[in-house]
Amino acid sequence: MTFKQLLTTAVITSVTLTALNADELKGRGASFPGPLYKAWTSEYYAATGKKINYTPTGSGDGVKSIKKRMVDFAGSDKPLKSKKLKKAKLYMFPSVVGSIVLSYNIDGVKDGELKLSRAAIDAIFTGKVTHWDDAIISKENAGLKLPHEPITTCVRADKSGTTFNFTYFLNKINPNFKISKKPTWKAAKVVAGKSNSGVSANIQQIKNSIGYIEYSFKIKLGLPAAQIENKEGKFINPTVQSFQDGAKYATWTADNDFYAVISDPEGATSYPIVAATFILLPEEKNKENKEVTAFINWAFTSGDKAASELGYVPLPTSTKNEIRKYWEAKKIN
Amino acid sequence: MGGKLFRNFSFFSATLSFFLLIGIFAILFTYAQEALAEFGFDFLLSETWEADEDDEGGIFGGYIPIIGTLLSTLIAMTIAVPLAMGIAIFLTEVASVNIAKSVSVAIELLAAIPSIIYGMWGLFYFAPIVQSTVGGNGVGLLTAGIVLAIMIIPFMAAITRDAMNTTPHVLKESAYTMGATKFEVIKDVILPYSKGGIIGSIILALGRALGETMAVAFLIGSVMSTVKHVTDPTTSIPVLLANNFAEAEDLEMSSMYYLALILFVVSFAIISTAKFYFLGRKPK
Amino acid sequence: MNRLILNKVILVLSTLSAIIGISFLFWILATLSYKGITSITWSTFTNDLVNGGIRNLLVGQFTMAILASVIAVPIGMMAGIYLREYGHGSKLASVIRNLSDVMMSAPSIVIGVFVYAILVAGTMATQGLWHWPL
Repeated sequence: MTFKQLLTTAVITSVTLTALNADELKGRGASFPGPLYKAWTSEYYAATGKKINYTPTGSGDGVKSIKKRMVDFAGSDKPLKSKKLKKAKLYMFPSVVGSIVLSYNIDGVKDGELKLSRAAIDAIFTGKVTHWDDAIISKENAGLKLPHEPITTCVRADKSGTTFNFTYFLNKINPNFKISKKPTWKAAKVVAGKSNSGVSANIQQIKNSIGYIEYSFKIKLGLPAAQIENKEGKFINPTVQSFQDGAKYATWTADNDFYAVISDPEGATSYPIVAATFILLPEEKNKENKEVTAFINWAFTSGDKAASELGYVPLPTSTKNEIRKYWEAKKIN
Repeated sequence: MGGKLFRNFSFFSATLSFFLLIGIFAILFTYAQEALAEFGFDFLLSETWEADEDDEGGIFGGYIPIIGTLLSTLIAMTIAVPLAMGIAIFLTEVASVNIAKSVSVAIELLAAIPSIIYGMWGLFYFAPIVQSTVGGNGVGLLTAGIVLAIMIIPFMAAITRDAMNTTPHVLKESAYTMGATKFEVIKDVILPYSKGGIIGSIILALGRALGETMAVAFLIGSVMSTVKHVTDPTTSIPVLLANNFAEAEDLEMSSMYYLALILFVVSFAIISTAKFYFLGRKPK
Repeated sequence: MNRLILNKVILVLSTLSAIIGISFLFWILATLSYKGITSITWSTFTNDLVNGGIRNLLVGQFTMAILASVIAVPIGMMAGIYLREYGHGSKLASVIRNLSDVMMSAPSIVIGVFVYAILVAGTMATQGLWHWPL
């Protein structure tokens, strides 16, 4: 029943939107920056009267839609390599940085109390460790009483940019781990949910579970999240400050359309799982592209506050200027 | 002339379901071609579902969702059929008129609740109970099956009750006057009389259970893994389709059309067998 | 007196299963109304999702239901009329009736995939249909 309803809604919305608001810009894709784009578009509407409609469906869907030119712009958490961009005739640049936290549901363990070393994270998600009181976890958590209960890992059921960025991080710890938008998980007990909200609901419901979600979902639902060992061996709490410290190490250049995955940055105070999310534009739609870049430019100038409030990290000013130069070079500013 | 137009239009409407049937089969078959050519019937036995990193290909097999669909439906039907029959008998023969009326209202209300509500209720209120009594994660095959059962009970009970209510009073009264007990009246008068309606309700419920998406998506765990224990998380065809449809391309998309085709053929086969086996011989 | 005992046993079983089934159903109804009523305020219906309401969802839901009814009700009624008035007793009518019964239990997701294939996937390439004026 409901899938049919979903599809019908999608069809009807697209029909009415195109028919009634032909001048409205349409975007779809990554759900990771969804809450922020929603805030940005409504503030932009209030400031300029221009309507932009972003539907957070998932990175894969965004890429697919923009390749088929169904929308004016797309969001994707997974950057596309230059070769692929050329083939599909697309421009790409980052819009904001977000982060992924490891949330858990263990009786008596509060927010930020659990410390997870790199070895422990690898062991949990590859299934080398199956119980919470295993030495590899408890070693770093002397003060905590971890139960002798099996670990349930909560993962995504759909293809996801969040999963791509998380597996990218896992791959940095353990090169054998395959980077994928939807890998086959080897952990002993796995439960999958659709989108960030599905995974969050599973973590809330399943005792002794752990899962990876976008930071704003942790904030919204008040879920406890672990401190994670970064590249320099320090345990870092997920905070906007530690995300900013990590984001500084991104190496973006216009030469490769800003292709870069920040995962596991340097720096003693950097939170290790930070990731940028990207905007894709079709090369030939010059008029619409200018409207999209005008919106993003507005967001770069006036949207930083909204971003920080929602738990995202605004791009560094130098990167923003690089992006503005990129627009100029492509004549879409 | 208007009469002719009316007749033609009504004829068109009536035959539409036939053309839809053919159309669905043809479209699904066409779109599944790529996967059919690549995997053939091995698709039915392969347990892997993994796309390549760039989404251009991969290995896809339907064994796990097919088994998941059949098992969750089996669990649901095993629980739901006796309970729904019990409720229907209770409503028509045991309960007083007032109780029967108020319970009927509640049941009809529940039959109208969208399945996603059952899914959410199951995840937030029922799964923790399953986890603490049977073990496992809470979400898994068993929870999905039970909630599926709860979901189709009102539906089945309401239709069965209606079917039983059509038994003429004269028949029942004459049986009672001859000294028959309630059970004998139910067994020998009501059941034979309402057999068609009851089986119809079971078939409808079966179809609903086979194709249920949202309630199961919340509860089955959506994991591509074979079930070793009844509480293990697994996946079903509708859940896999709903989770991956928006994101898939090329071969994976085709594999999903293949799965949809399998679901369609399986449910068509089960339902029409049930229908013609039980009802076919009834004179019309 | 065996049959009287059997009768009692069966009736008790039926009542019992009814109680089990019905208590589950009331449990759901109770949690739904309890959880639902406590979080419903007037603004729930007057605000869009952005502002913590569900107005746009309701509008979408009803538009969809109305659209579906507008398409389906006439066709369904005409089909019924045909079966009753014109095709009564004919072989064709009984085939159609049986097929419709089977189609009624066709899994909704299959219908969804089918419609996706002909409407969405088909038009992704051409983009034509979306620009129909409403």
